Order: sequence, then structure tokens, then C-alpha cells
Amino acid sequence: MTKLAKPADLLKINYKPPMTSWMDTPTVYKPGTYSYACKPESLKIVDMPNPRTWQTTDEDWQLPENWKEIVLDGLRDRLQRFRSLKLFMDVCVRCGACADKCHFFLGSGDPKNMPVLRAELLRSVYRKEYTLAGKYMAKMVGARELTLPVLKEWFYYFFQCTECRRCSVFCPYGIDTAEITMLARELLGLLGLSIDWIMGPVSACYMKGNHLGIQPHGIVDSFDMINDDIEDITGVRLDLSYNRKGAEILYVPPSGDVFATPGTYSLMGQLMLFHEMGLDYTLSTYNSEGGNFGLFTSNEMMKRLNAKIYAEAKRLGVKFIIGGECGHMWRVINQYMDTMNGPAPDNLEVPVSPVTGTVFHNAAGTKMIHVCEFTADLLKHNKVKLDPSRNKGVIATYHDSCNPARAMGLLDEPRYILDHCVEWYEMPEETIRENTFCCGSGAGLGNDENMEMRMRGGFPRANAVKYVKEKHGVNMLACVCAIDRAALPALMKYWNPGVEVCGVHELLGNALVMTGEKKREENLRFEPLQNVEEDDE
Amino acid sequence: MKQGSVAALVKKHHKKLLEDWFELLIKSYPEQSVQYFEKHQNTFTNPVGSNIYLSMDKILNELAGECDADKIYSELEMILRIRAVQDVKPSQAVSFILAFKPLLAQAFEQEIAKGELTKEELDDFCGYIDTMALLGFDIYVESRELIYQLRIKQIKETNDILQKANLLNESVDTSTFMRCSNYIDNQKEGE
Repeated sequence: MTKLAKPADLLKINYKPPMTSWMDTPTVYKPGTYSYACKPESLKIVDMPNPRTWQTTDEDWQLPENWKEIVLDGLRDRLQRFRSLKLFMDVCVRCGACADKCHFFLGSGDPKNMPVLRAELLRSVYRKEYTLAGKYMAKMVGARELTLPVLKEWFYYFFQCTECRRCSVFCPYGIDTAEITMLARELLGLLGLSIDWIMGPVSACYMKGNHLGIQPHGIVDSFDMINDDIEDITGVRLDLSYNRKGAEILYVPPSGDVFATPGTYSLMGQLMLFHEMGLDYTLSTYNSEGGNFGLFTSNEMMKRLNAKIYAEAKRLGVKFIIGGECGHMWRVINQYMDTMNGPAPDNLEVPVSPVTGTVFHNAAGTKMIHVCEFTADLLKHNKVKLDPSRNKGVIATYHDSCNPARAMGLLDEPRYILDHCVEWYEMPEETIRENTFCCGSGAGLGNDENMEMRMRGGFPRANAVKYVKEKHGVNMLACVCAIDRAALPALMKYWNPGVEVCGVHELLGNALVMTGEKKREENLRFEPLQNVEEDDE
Repeated sequence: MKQGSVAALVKKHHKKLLEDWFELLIKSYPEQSVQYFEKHQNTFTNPVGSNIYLSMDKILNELAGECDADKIYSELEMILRIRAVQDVKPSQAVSFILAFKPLLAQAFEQEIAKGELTKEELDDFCGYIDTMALLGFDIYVESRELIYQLRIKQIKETNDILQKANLLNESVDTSTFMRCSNYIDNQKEGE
């Protein structure tokens, strides 16, 4: 018999975690905090090993007999290939600067969400296998054998990192903890261990060019629907072109914006702007995705999926590429594309805005610019006619999406666009720009089964939104990432009901005055404009 | 001692009650995390610790004053929204409310000893804490329901997109979703 406890005892007894060291604390897969396993078909499509039907919570993960050897050989191989990994394994002095910088740690209090400890999960095995001290004094130097529980712990915690790189900003040694997660996921991939929400999009992207696996005619249908909506709202029908050879520009959106709200509204804004500027651009039904879940799988997969951008740019003979409001896409493009799949095809040139003549030297290598760079430059040169009163009633704040902010330094351009379109307020400085807090759903973790973990991880961001909501009456969270637009609405419903989510170009699209347009009565969401209601009164 | 004087004592001992109550909850986090969570001064770099601290502070102000049900509810909501997505059982999540009662008795020890406060007066006041615990139960359940509503919403939205693209038959595999339900059921059976 257990005697009924009093409330304070409940806190004392059950709350207290086991007083064991982290190495001896077992990993528990609690529903709501992990992602479902990948399907065998997805692995087969991209030639990844060990395709079989399994589930994360299965006792038996159906691993090959020599799984340990595969992982350790894989680690050895990568230590030789990547100096960065070798460095990251050796130089950490466990100073703790990163410890309280991870949104998952801040939301959960789980020590293994401290970036230092997350990396230690891998480092401990590295020490055991590849350092003298680790071989002979394992416990003393924090080394341990690779066992099945360790492997399951890796899976749990490395698929609980959104690769947002906030911790890296604070590391005095410049350790990129996201790269440690990337490498750990790559090692897990050698055993066919990944999650459905990553491998599904990866295989669909490989076969059909976008995360959902929508075929070319489906892409055209979706753009047609978007065009219908634009015509209904503005009276202007856009002349969209697909796979048009000889166009000056190839536009690559994140496919989330083509299919799902509120991303579609932001895409509408961009297409309306391109139309108004008379841009000679084309859309591709094959390269219909800027996002790249290969980044969350392996270096090779990232390279494979990214290759289509240059291939399509070459096939169509365009001069440069504009990429849409996507998040992780920009880490791939800005940090890896040039060395991975470059040099860019000969037909590509350093991007020059056909409207303003501005040369984008920053993209001299990749030949690809962010749509916010393009738009901000137009605004700077006063080329766009705007009526910000159409955004009346919207009080916005801006969420720096992790990768555009930290991996490419896109900090001021989106803000510059907002300045011209809408009343908006900054969140506190500890939570914006390079210090921005992740949505908690990036790097493939935005699936529904992981909802509890997403709400934990997104809390630091939601908390900053709450502050500006209470202080300034903010009711709109603007961002430049399709995963944000998919994930943040749920986060806001949980933490800050009443705050909607949008892309920066949705607000621009609302304000954009187009040649030949009818009197605007609705915003891009078909909601009545507040300034019109006032006029009528 | 006259009616309402317990509230005055809550006001008098505000600081101690707040520190003790906060510590009780914060110390329940893993040992390595407590050092970060107990620094409650910055709301933005430590949202869990600071929000719990601030909300407890406001609840104490209400208990010492108007006892406005709406205000108390919204502060409890802040704390329980956090607890509802952390790795604790429902009973543990709401237990911090009832665990406040012994803290009151502890803080008012001297007044009770001197006869300035009777046990009946304290018990009567503790009725508020019981009500808070019941509200806490409401909020916890509402938060968990919301999480599942958000899950269902996402599944439905994904279905709609795939249906529109005529991809429903090949892309939506509900087996994993069903599997989750089985998993939860099995767990219950095992307990």
C-alpha cells in the first residue's frame, strides 16, 4: 500500500528527477514529444539503407546486426572528412554559455536539451572510441560505449533540435551545434533511422520537386487558384508563366506558400509585386520547392535536392534567381550551395534589379537573391506605390526566422518592408535579430504528433510576442519562413490567442497599389478592409 | 482577529510566501536546470522561471486584496499552460496550488502562536486555495484539449491540401496516427 500523499509531497517526491548522472538517466518516449518513424518507401526512393516498417516506440528497431560498426565507421569517416566535426568534438570546454540558450531547454527544463549536453551525447561516444583517455578512464572523462539505449537517446534528442543555431551565437569557440545535430542525424540515417516528417518530404522532393509531391499540373492548378483570388480582390489578372525558357529571372518559392494558408497570401503579395514591376520572370513546375529537408538528413541528400535549382536555371537560361520567403532554404543557399553545387551555370549572372539597376554583389557567388532584398531595394528607390492604410487594424511584430537571420544576416530588409506597409513593433532585443528564438518546429519537427514538444520549444518566442501584444496590442506576427507560417499559428493559439501569422509580403500585397486595379474592399484573406469601412461611414 | 485579516497577513508576509512558493515549484525541475530557472529577473531569457514568479506574485496580490476571480484565473492559466506541456503528470502539474496551504500556516506561525489568528480563520481562507486548485484543474484540462485540437486541425488541413491535389490515397497514412492511439491505450492497460 502506498499512503496517499499531500500536495507538497507530490511536488517533492514525484517531481524530483532521479538523482542519477545524465548518462544513467533513461530516455522515455512520451507521446507528444517525439516524431513518428519514416516509412520504408521514403527510404527506398532515395536509396537509404534498411527500409522496413517500424515505429519510434517499438522495442525492436530492426537494425542490421552490425549496426554499431556501421555507426562507428560512419563517425570515423566523417571525422576524417569534416575538420569542423573533429574540432567540435574536441574544443568544447563545457563553459555552459550555450546551456540556457536553447528554446527547448528553456521551455522544458530537460538538461539534455542544453546544447552542450545534446552534443555530449555524441561526444561521449567519440571519446570512448577515439581518445586514449576515453578508452581507459571512460567515466572520469565522460566517455561511454555506444549501446542501443544510447542510440535511442540520440534519436530522441537529435530529433528534438531544430538546428536553429541560437546556441552557436553564444559559443565562445564558435561550435555550431546545429552541425553536430546534422551529423548525428546523418549517422542515424546510416541505419535507416529518421522521421516520417523529414523522409516523406525528402522523397517527394526528390521525385516531384516539392515536399508534398504535387505534380506539375497540380502546381499550375494551385497558381491558377491564387491568380483567381488575386483577380477577385484586385481586379487585375496576372500573366503567370511556367517553365518559360529565356525568362530573365527564375522565381523559387517554398512550396508551402503555394498550397497552404497563410503562406499563400504572402505568395500573392510577391506575385502581385512582380506583376506591377513588369518583371520578366518564370515559375518552374519541376523546381517547385526552395525548401530542402535534405539539410535535416545528410550532406549528400541536401546536395542532391539542391541541385535542381541550378539545373532548372540552366535549362531555362535565366540570368538570376529570386528565392521566396523560406527559412532553412536560405541556410542551404547562402552557406552551402556555391561550394556544394557551384559554380553556378554560365548563363547566370550577378543579380541586377531590372527595375532599379542595383547590383546584388552579396549574391555574386550564388546568383540568387532573397525576395526581401529585391523588394527592399525597390522601396529604397521609391519604385512601389503603397497605401498602408489598407493594413489599418493590423498591428504587427516581426519574428526573425532563424535561418534567414543567423545563416544569411537578413535582418533589416524585412523590417524595411514593414516600415513602409504597416504599424509594427519590435519584440525585446534578447529575442530578435541574431538572438531570435525559434518557432520550435523547424528541422522537420513541425508534425502534429510532436505538438507538445513544439509548444514547449516555442514558448520563449511566444512569450516575447505576449509582451508586445500586451504592450502595443500586437495582433499579427510577421515572418519570412514557410515553416514559421505553418507552425506559428498553432503556437499562437496555445500561448497568445488572437495573434495571427503572416508573411511580410502579405502586408506589402495588401498595401500595394496596382495599375488598373479596382477599389480594394478586401485584404488578401478576403476580409473587409477597415479603411474602407470607415470611408463608407 | 477580524474577518479579512488573513488577507492582511498575506500582504505582510508577501515576500516570504512568494519566495517559498516559487522555490517549491522551481526546485521540482531537474537539479541541473534549477540554477537557470530560479533566476527570474529576465522574462525573455528565462520565460518559465520569470512567468511563474510574476504570476505567483500577482496571485498573492489578489489574495491579499480583491481576490478577483478573473485575474487569478489568468495568472493560473499562465503557469498551467507551461506545466501542461512539460514532462509532469496532471496531479503534479496542479499540485503547486494545494501545496501553498502549508506554506501559509508556516508563514503565519507566529501570529497563530500569539493567538492573533485562529485555525478556523486560516481554514476559512484556505477555501480560496481549494477553489484555485479546481480552477487549475479546469485550465490544465483545457490546455491539453487545446493541444489535441491543434493536432487534429493540422491533420485536417494537410488532408485538405492533399485532397485538392488529388494525392490523398497515396500520401495520407493514418496507420501511424492509429498507432499512437494504440500506444496510449496500451499504456493505460499496462498501468
